[in-house]
Amino acid sequence: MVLEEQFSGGRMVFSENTYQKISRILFELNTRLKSTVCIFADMNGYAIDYNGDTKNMNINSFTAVAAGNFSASNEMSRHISGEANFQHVFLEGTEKNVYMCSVSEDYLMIVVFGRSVSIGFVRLLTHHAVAKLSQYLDGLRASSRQVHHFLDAEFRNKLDIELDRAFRLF
Amino acid sequence: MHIDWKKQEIVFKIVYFGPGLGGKTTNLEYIHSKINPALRSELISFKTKQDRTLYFDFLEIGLAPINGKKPRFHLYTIPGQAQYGFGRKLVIGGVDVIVFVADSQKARMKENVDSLYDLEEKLRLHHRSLANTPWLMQYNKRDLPHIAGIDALQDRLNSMRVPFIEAVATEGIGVFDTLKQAIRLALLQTDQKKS
Repeated sequence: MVLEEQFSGGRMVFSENTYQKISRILFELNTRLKSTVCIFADMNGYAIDYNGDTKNMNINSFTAVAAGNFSASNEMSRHISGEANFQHVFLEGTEKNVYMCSVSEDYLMIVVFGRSVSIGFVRLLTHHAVAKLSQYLDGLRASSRQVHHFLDAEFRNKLDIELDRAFRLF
Repeated sequence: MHIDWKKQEIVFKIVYFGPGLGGKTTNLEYIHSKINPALRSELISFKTKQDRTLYFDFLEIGLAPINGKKPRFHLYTIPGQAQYGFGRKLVIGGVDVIVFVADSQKARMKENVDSLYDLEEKLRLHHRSLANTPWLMQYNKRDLPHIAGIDALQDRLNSMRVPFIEAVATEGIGVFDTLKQAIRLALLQTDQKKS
């Protein structure tokens, strides 16, 4: 078990095997597109995995903002059509562009790419990657609750000390 | 909470909720200014020209590994103004702990109560409620004149008797205590789920 998270529809458990599949899909997508970075995230703004160059960006902050942007776009959709049906969002910049699309409702694929790559190509390949991802994810809903044995009293005490240390420093 | 076994990370989502101008962003700004920059991200804010939160504020704190696991905390504030309700719905998804930042001024009691109802409503949209979500109360602006007494605030806003902390966020009073308490609640909830 590699990653687990709670959703309204139940707890999602990512197996080692699934995680590897996601990583491989991101690697293939990023390589074929020659994009800057491809991020697989949840709709709450948590970056689950990514592939590419993240030297000049804080991946977690960027993903949180991207998820907010996608959600805001769907709110716009609700206003004009009564339902959230914007499946894709494309943001065009002078140097970098961002393409986002939903994956199985709870997840988001974010592709950051440069001017040399056409949006049509990005859409096409991302669509294929998302179809593969959706196939894997649909079978992963799990009702069993995992036990976090390491989050015990000892962990809490050490965390308290770390927090005090972090807050005292400045 | 997300546990990423590959990266050995535990990520908690903490949301500061409450009425507009109650001090939610001030809490994050203080934390951002006082914590070691090596341990935190930049504070991301979407603000209107009037300096009001539009979507949310976001701050990430990452601590040194504990027993091999890196704790990370994603801190969000919600937009307090009524017209930005969708932003509140968005941010509340997947929350581990909620800090309700109440404005202690007597004149703001109605806004506090309305915001608490709004919180219940937003949680319901995610199939949750205040009864099954860890949360605590921060009574902010305790330095101002014409504030309600703690007993009065507790009676009106905290019938569930969740933990509360008095604060003056502009001076940092109670800010870290609130965050520490929020983190404790998140961990306790996890511990309770084990049993």
